[in-house]
Amino acid sequence: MQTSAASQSQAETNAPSRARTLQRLGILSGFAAGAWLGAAEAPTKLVSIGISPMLISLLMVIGVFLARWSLPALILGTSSVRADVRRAPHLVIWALLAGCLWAVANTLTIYAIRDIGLSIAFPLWNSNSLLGILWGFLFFNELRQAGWRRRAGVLGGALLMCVGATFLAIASSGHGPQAHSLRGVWAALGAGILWGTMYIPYRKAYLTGMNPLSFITFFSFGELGMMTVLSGCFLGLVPLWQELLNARSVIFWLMLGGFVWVIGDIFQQYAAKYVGISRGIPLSNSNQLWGLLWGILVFRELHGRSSSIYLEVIGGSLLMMLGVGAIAFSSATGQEQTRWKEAAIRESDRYGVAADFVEARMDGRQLLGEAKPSRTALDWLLVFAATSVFVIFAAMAHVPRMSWHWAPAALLTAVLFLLLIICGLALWRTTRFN
Amino acid sequence: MHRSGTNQRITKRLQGILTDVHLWVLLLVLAGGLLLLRFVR
Repeated sequence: MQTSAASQSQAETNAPSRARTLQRLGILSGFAAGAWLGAAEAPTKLVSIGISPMLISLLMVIGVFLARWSLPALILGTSSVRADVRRAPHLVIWALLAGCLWAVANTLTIYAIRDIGLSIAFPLWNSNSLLGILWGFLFFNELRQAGWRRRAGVLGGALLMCVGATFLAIASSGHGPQAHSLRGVWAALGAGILWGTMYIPYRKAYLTGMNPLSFITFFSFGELGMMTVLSGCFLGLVPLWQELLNARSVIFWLMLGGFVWVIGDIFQQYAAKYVGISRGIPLSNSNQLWGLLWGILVFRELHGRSSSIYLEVIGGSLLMMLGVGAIAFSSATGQEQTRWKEAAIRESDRYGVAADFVEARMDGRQLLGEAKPSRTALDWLLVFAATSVFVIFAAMAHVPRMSWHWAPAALLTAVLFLLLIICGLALWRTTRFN
Repeated sequence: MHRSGTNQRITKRLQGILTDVHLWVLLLVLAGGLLLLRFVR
């Protein structure tokens, strides 16, 4: 009893420094998310070799599904997922809905890439950060009592990012296919609205104490279910099967894109958890810069264009980086975090989740006396099954017949792994992935 | 006694979900997204 009281008192004394550490961790997670999410867009270039957008989306979602079951099993074990669900079973519904929103948004982005090209579509759907800020403010008390300097930092940073993104779009316009430009613009904006709204369930889950690794596990059922229904309805089962057979040599690359996306999304979830959606989404939207690096260096998208185009690209990128910096330096103060806690109490009251559990998880720690998660044979079986599926499709895969360059791809991949190690270690040391 | 407690918890959570404005925002946006997908494909 005395030990418990002493440790609680010590936790209260260390609360401000713990909060600062978690804020820094959330910002680092946002940066890592940007790099991985940007890299995940590269396989969608396969739309340019004539593969149906619906099929690309379905195959990416299958890769996502495999990753979303195997990675949590590998990192914490499925026992922690079961424990989380027992404490907050209602979150399964929110995770399924978020998965459905993701699947529809992802499909819209592929139609947008087909109609207006990656470089214009990307900044349009990245406007989701502005919607994320609105939802964060309206529903979860984010940016309340944050002071004008921090509000200006977040809002101004997000606006700078949008202006920078528009510059990038102008610079690259005329390069992509323009056959159905208005339709493509609607598809990209629609994807932005769906993705911006998808963060509502994310924030609900983390305010109620769910581990990001548990949330994404159920999220994957929503997205795979919705994607299967969409492909079945839009393509028909027999043509879908035929298209799958025809595309078997690139299935691996698309599934790999889904896998890479999941790693980015896990970091994005930790960012949403520790800095909120109003800051987490804009930070992970730095993925556009990474997407641009892949586009310019690996696929030579701007090759042969005038130097003024390159200046616009550099200017747009600098604006985006300024915006990211402004948001990163506007972390939440103690007063704002008190308002976050009020939103958390509202959620736990509504759904009957224990207050001490919610508080512990918001601090990125386990409850006193809570069993540590452990891996079982089932977890290793999941990891083995997912790896086998990837190995089978890798054996069938051919390098797609499109122009791309190995050396910059290898360099960007090395940077991705460096960020994975740095951020993964920081998360492990500070929270043990709680 | 135990079953009645479980039923009460389930009812409270169901009520919580159905009266949660977030649910209706999500459903509205999802329906809009599906309609848009029909238009752009």
